[in-house]
Amino acid sequence: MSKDVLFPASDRPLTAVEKRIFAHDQVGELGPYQPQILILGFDATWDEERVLQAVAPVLAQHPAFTARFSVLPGGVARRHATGQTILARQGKGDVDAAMERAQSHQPDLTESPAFADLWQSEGGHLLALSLHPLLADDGVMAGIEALLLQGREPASLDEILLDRSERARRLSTWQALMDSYGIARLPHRFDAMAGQARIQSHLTLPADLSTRMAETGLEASLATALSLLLRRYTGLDNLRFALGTGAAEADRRSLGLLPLCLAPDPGRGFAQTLQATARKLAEARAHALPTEVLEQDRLSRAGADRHPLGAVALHVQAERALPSGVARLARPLPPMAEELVLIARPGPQGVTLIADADGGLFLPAQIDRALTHLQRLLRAGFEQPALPTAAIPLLSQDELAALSAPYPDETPVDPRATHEIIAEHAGLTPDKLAVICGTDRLTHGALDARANALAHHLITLGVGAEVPVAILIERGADAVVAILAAMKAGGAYIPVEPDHPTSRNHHILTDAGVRVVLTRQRYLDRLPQGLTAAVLCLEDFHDAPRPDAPSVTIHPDQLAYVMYTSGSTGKPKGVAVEHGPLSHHNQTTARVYEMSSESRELPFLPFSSDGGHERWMVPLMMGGSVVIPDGPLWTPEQTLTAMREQGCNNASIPTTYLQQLAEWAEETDSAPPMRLYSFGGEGLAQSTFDLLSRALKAKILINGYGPTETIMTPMVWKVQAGTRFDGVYAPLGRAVGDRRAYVLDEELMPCPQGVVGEIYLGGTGVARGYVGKPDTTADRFVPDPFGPVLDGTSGARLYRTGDLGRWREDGTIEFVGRVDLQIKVNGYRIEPGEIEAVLLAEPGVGEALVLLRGDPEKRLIGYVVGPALDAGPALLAALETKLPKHMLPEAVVVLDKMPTNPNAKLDRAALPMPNAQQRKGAGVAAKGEAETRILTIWRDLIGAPDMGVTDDFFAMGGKSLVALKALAAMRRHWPQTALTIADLFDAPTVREIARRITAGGQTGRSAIALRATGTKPRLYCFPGLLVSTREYLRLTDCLGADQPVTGFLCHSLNEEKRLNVSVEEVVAGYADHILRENAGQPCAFLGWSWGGLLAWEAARQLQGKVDLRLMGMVDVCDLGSDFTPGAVPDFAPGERDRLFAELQGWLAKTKMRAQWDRLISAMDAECFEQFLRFIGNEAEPLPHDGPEISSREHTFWVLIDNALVFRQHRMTPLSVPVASFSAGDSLSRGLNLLDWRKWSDKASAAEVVVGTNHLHIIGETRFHERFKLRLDQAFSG
Amino acid sequence: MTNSTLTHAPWVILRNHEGRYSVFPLAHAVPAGWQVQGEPAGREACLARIAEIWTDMRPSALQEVMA
Repeated sequence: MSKDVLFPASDRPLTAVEKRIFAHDQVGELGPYQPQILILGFDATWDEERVLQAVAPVLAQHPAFTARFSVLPGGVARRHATGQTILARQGKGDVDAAMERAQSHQPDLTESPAFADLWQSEGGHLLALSLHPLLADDGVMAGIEALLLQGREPASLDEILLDRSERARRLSTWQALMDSYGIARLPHRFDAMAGQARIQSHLTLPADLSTRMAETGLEASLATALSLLLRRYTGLDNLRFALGTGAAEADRRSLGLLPLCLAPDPGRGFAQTLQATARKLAEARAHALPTEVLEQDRLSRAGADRHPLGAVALHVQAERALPSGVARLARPLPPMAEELVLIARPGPQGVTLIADADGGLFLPAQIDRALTHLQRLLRAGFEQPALPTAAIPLLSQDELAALSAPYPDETPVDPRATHEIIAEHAGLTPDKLAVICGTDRLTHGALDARANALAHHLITLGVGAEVPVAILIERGADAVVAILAAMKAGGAYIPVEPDHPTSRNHHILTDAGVRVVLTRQRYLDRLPQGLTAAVLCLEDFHDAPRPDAPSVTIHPDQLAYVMYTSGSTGKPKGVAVEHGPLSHHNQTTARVYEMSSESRELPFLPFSSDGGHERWMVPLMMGGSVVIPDGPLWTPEQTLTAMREQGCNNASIPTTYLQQLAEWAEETDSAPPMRLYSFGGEGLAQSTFDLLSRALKAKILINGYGPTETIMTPMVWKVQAGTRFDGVYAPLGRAVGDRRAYVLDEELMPCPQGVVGEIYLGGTGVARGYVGKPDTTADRFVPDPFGPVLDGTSGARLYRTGDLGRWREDGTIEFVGRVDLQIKVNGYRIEPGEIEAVLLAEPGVGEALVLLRGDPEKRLIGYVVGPALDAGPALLAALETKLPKHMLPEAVVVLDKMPTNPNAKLDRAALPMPNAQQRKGAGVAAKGEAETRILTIWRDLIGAPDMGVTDDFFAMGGKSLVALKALAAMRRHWPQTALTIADLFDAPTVREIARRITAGGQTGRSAIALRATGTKPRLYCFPGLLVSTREYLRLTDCLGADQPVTGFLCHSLNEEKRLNVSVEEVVAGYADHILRENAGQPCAFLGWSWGGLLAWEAARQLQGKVDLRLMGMVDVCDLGSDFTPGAVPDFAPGERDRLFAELQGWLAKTKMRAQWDRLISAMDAECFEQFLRFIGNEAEPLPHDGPEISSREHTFWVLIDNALVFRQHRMTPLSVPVASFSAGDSLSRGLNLLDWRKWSDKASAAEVVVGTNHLHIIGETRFHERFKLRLDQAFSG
Repeated sequence: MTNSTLTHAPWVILRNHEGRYSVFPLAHAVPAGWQVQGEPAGREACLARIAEIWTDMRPSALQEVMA
């Protein structure tokens, strides 16, 4: 079987993906690139001789086994085929032993990048190959199998070489696509933290389904199903995920990613959707660009996603036939870098799906479910190819039944009405107290007798079934009597709060066709004119209490009450509730709350809310009693005292008031012994819940939820005090009684757990509808498609709550926000409430509001009240660690208080826009020529026409680059001054700067104290190109008030700069400064980019003179070979002349001609050749947009200027502690990042900060936190 | 559900055995216990029609008892 095979290019530079993995290897952190393992099993038909013969040529000739690497000066690597791999005979073992050994090998690029083990197994042999990830992927293994098993030379890959214009054309196509397709991700778990240990889930699809997928195209089938899954999980119309694109067979690693941008139309069937996917797949491949190019493009933008192409990656591995007698026992996996990596692998039983996910973001159950949902989409898609994909259920009937289920309650329903059950206790325990209110005391007997008397009278006034009776009486014993009387007479009561606004009350009294009003004389003047109803004042009613109730039969469909609710718009609507569902609700609630005749409840809720009525009805139905507050405004002290004195064991209290109660009880240690508190009305944060648990000392806590339309409290969350809930708000819990609670999407399909949808409540426990509003009723109460299937009901209705929620892992529902407040930003659905809740969890934040503002460009802005007025940026940074990128507001504005209009409602229009707030200048006029000139320059550059001479340059919006421009403009006018950016930091107003210029007081310094004081050792930050030190402000913030920080200005920004200075000279100035300030003291250095080389040189110069505790090296690169002395550049024939002509043509045009001439004249001949080569390597044509600072040309000039400074510099090893950090993008670019372990014995491998690039890493919160940790360790150790 | 992508398609008026009315997308299967009333139309048109025909919101059983 052995034959000679010729592999191409035995000595070559690395490809893009090889460079990337090489860079990872160099910094000592392979990250997601793990050794690639293939295990083949040979049965007895392959004797040992035959196996050995097959293996020998592979190990001798295949490039994966012969590859070795060399590094040229400057850090550039090349690949050679000069090595060899020896087959290791391992003796006897099974596949587990072979795998364990294969995993224990640590392939390294210098010594042994590949391992091959041969084992004797039961009845045959095992061959285990373990290769460095730079050398292999699944495609390379396919090639190895071909050579090994068929003696066939594997396909050789040519690197696709695109010319500059084609590359640019493709990139712009991808840019446009990616800009309009949002990155789709599965919803994260609560308190998500990326980058934790991976979790894995497997699912093998049934053989029949696998076959149909294979026939249709495995990749297109899976990509379609995944797009549908992600659409349902995210609500994104245009969504993007990453698709693994590697050659099926290759001689070198080729596995990469392309962003697949799909917009599955949910109204179409699976078959049509699949065709569309197949077209997109073909287009994506036809316009392929290297993964690295696409990632770099994304990461060069501010606020890039840490998974720039997609947070979910799909890899479909090809099926590969094996000759008889051979089995594949292990196959390599792609890099597990994304939040969720989905691998599909065909096998004899069917396609196996492997889901590998970040365990910090997802729970294992979530990942299992996602696979199940994918299978359901595929199954339904292939069996009903024309069914609109939106109608494919993700949940099974059993799952839906379990999630929507109410609290279990098997007790048969008592058919009697609420007041009939209450009346029963007048017979059973007539002398037992029922109602306590102020000085009023009513026993069950007295309560019933008084209500009977009034009921008889009401009947004479025409009250009967469906007749509304208004109760215009303040909360108290009389109101309870009146309500019971209305029901006993067969009527429907309508509570009207005497204290509520007259216009609202008049609307209620006229809207519902009220026939009788029960009230007091003192409220008569609050009745509307022309009211036709009979009015009865309690003072005028003298009939004696009587034991017999009127003989009235209550039909279960008959109205019990009409409750008016204030919608967000329009007039209050009357919600009509029938006796049957009301009584059933009250009965089940009594059992869920574990109420008895011993219950004595203090209901604090107003009678204008239906919850307020539940909380007196239920205790009375159980034969217990209620203590009704005799005024609306009891202090916490009064309430707690009443509870104690009256021996209450239950209380029902609005959440906000309960919080005050708990705070008071905690301060005064005055919590009375209580069994249960129920509360509700608004979102309850964990911290508040903890306070309630701790301070109130009750056994059970119940969070109640429910719109009036679904009768009182249709959902509760009942827990032991002290329970932790992983969520922003306490759960709403589950349904009560004959109800089910659902979370549904816009197509009325149940949402999977964790996915936000609208909360619907169904079952018999819903209201009849809105009085006199059949259309609104039909709009909000919709036919229930689930009841018939789950409970065998017929004609049932669901109420659409308008609230957003999601099913939690335990099946309870969590509140998320309001449907009408939900907003869409770049296609992502955002619930402002979720962001507000995270803001509220920050220390000191008392109120939070998140809004989409601005016209025409919408901006997401957060407003908070509570913390210090300058805390906005810190709050924003806190949000960054807790929320996905698309949910981050652009700014957080701290206000003294929320602006309100005359009605005490929030005045949204009065909320300041963030810039407007920062830019409000004091506007002090300029005096004298200098001030006038400077003010004109600053106003123009910042764009702040109202700026005055005492306004702070940076507070007015002046950014770092604007500062440099301002300096340049001022220097042009006063060429004799040595003004530097340090002056602008020290003297940031027009007046102060003008004084420095006229008095000649400019500092000319290059060191800027970013934080002057603090007890910790000082941190010195060394600059990369064009670094003005403002870049370190966020880092300084993060390091805290105790950490003094000094930043050095980049020497190219220093006006005293000369050409051809050496690194030693540049650093000498910094070193002098450090010695003056810190001789003999502990300190730390931070070097970013080439600043790392400056920091290293400073450490050398200061050896033994300062106590250097830590050097933080941030993305420090070797210079590369571009300008290395002695590196002779290659040119294609004629290329040098062409580049020379290009350079001359460009020099003739550029406005920076003088500067360039100066720079070029400083180059020696070798350096000039290198410069030409450098120009030729640039992807873009030479820029001529200078000389303005921040122009591309100026930046290019500074780069070359620095290259000339650094090219002669040589580093020496030092024994100093080094913590190094690399940006993920720099690794992906294969930049020549320095491995500091080669320069110091006290250096550790680099920490990789993924999802950021060379430029942005310094402002990245995730970097700040890690550096702070290392710094703290260094200072304490 | 008002934002349903299937709602470009027409809606229908449904009525149940209790005489309660509601609206539903034509593309969705009619839930058990509900009957289609009249011709499919736009959502708003269906609701406007319900405002005209649903003049007595008492459930049928109660109407019979009270008759």
